Amino acid sequence: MHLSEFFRNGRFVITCEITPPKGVNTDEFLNTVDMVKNHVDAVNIGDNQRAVMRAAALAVCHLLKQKNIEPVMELTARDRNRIAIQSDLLGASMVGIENILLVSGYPPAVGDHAQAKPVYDFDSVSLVSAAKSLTKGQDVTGHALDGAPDFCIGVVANPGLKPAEPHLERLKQKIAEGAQFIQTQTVYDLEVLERFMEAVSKFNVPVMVGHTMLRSASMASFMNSNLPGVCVPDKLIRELEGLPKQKIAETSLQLSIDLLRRMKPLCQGIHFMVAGWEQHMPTVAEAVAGKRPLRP
Amino acid sequence: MNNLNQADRVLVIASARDLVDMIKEGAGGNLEVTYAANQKEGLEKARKDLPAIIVLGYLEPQGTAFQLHRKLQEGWITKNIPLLIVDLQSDDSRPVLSMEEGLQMEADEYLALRRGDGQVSLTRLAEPIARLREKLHTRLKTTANIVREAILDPNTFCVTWEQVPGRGAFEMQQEELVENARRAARKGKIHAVSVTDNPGGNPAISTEILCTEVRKLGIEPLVHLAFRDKNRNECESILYGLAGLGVRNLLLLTGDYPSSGGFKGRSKPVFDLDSVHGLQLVQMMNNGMEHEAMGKKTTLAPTDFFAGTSVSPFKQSEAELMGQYFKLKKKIESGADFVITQLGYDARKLHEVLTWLKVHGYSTPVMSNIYVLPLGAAKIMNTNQIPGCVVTDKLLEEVAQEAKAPDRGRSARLTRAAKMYAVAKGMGCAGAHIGGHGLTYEAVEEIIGKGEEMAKDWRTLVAQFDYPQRDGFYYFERDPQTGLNLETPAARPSRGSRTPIYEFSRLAHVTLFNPKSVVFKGFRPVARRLDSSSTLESAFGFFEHLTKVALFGCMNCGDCSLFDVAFLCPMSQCPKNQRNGPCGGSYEGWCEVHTDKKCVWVRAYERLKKHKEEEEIGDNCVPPCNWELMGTPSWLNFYLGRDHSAKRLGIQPPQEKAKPAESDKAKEAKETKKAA
Repeated sequence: MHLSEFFRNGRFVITCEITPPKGVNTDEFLNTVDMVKNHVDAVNIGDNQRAVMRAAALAVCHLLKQKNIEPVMELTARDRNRIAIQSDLLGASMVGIENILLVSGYPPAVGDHAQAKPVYDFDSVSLVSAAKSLTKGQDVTGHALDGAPDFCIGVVANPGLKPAEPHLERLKQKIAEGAQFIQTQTVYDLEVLERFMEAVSKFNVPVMVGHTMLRSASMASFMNSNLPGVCVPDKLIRELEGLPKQKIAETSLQLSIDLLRRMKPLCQGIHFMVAGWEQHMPTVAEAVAGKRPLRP
Repeated sequence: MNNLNQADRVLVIASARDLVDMIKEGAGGNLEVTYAANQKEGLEKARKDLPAIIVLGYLEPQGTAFQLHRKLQEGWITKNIPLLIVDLQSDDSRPVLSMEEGLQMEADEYLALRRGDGQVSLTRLAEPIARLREKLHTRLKTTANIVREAILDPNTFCVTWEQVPGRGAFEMQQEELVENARRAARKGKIHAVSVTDNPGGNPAISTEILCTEVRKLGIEPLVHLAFRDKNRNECESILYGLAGLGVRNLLLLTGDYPSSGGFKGRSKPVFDLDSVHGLQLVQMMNNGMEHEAMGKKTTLAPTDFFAGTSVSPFKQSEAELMGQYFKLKKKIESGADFVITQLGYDARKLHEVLTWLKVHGYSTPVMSNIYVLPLGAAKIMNTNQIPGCVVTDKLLEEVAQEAKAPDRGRSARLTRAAKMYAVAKGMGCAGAHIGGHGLTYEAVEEIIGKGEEMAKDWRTLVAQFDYPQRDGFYYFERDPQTGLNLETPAARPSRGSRTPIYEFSRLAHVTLFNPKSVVFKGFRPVARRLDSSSTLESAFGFFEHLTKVALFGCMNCGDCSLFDVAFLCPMSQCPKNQRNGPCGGSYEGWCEVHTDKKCVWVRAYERLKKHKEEEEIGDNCVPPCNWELMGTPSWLNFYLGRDHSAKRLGIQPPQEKAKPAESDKAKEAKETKKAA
């Protein structure tokens, strides 16, 4: 089911990113999916996300589809040229994948195959336009397709990035090319989100605010030093600093709940990126959005 | 007493040494920096050296640092050691953690220090080093034991709040206890929450487990460890568990006698160790206990316990009080880090402990016990139903008057507690141990607040805590000016007593059990002969036992302690089997358990006093009974150098190996079992 339909029905949409297995054993992956599946509208499957080599998102999404769980398939331009991109998109549609998230992707240097050749044949804008073109029954060089895919196209944005203008300009282009929803990088500052929402309001596209629960003070400091555009306020870090390990989760979840409750009226959904803390995601989601029927 | 120096060690694990130099610079002179170049070495050193902080930098190949971070965080030995990940970033360096790893990091601290290429000289890294120093020092503070610091620091008045757990797993008493600890942790005015160990000798939820919960709430627990219900192995086992979970503060106590409320009757009183032994055990563990496993000597990693004990100055008679101080001497010599007084309201008595320590050249800090006294408790204590807790008639009358107020005496008893706080602080106690049934956190804060206010005028309050016991004995002469004590010991009027059994035993001892005597030397070969045949040995043992049952009520422990208690058997005559001095439970000289019998230590004092030998009680720390000797003839054990008295007197076992009969029997039993 298209995510855009959820939005159209006025539903506050919740997605959660789950990391595909590194290997062919799907047990742990499926266990993780089980933790969140009843609390989300769709599960995001990363495409070798953060440049760490893992099982193909397409195959993993197919697996979810078979289990009647709605996937959002991420596709990056880092590892494929335009032929592979289109081919994968057609394949995805063939196995029933409808929601895709198109991103340029972190460079190989941040991941576990630093020597890999970065492809970037397309950028995020041309990715969107290629996908859109496919849905209209044409490939990017104008050849007709025998049967067109049907996609709901998502893109990403980073509200905290400075300077904001070039970034917003690109976002505008992506929307113009046919993007239908936005998932953002994680935001810890209400004001940053407010400013962003104001800037994108003219696009008239639903926005899901990204959220990562803070696993530790050190992890927060790490994000501040290493994730462009992410800024965890000192106040939040201090709340976690020096806490006994057993208390961190409790405190961190409360911080997330407080923050997301204030953000909820501003946006149309939440996208959780919790890397290893999936078990806590339902607690936060329920506290913020309430208990909800699974389908609208 | 910091016998570890572990607080001073920083372990740096990184492939390149540049981080070590930075840490050395950042750490300053008072920290010792050790280095490990790879995961294996890092893990080994972290486990063996127990550093105060681990600093983890880039490790080849990428991904190793994250793996090691996990192992350190999850490892039993290393889980409580703060882990600081330092990322020395430059244009050509690889990050310590990949982005994926960084998002899953659970270290205590992450610090990214940016430096340009080639910028390696330390002077140009002043700013990152300063940040590093700040981080190291804040981390060190979080690992420091604030109870130890508060008690040892003369400028800090340590406050602990006593909690009493009850019977049952899911009872309101437990709920309240945890809630109290949570509030205390949040407000930060109290240094520790103490949890009593099966209070009143009744079964209650385990203090050790509650204390690990209390620690999770963010406040230091003070674990009461009583020796009533646990033998030496159980104590050691619990102590390892506590150390492993980062619980470090202990209060070692004899313990009340088991109540009659146990499951299907009164529980078996254990009293395998006394508090002197407990302190010795903790001291050994803190120094790194040596033991033998499969023929190999090993030394265990040292623990970091801060162990206190109690003393009861509120004793009525000379013999009881002297016994307390003799035992206190042994406790201090066995490594007591601090002392908490028993419950009492006589300021001169509290001052007496401080003066006694000063006069004897000890610097052991004293915590004053402040119990918020309601009428009900006062009545019970006045009739001596809680052993060792003294409420005199005069005090009871005052409390009864106060209870007539509309608030049923609440404000009066809090004020009394605040005044005691002020007096304790003023006279030089290291802290206050506050307790009271149903006491709320607010009330405790009120006591602290008012107490602090009144502390400077403490001398004017002393007169309000003048509660001598009837014919009560004080160690020192009274100082008429302050109402407290001079440093001159008072006369000790007791003349002692002479009993035929004692005088006879003394005589027998001098002739038979003096290694220098002719009889001893002559009898030693006979003893060896008797010992070599199990028939002869048991015949001799039977004869010895009969004699000693008749004279001393001997229990055949085989490790005879008659010499240590003026020929009174602590196994049969003392319900708590105290070998090193009295417990705190006696009342006007009478035993806490058998109230129609005098305390053995009171009798021992009187017997020895007659010969002016009473000081001997404080002279040597008697080890706990060696149960390997149980049921064997103690005279042979003495003659053949096997029991504790023989060891103290330097009696060597005979040349060829004479095995203790017990182990022979054990072997035999094993063989028959096998055959069966």
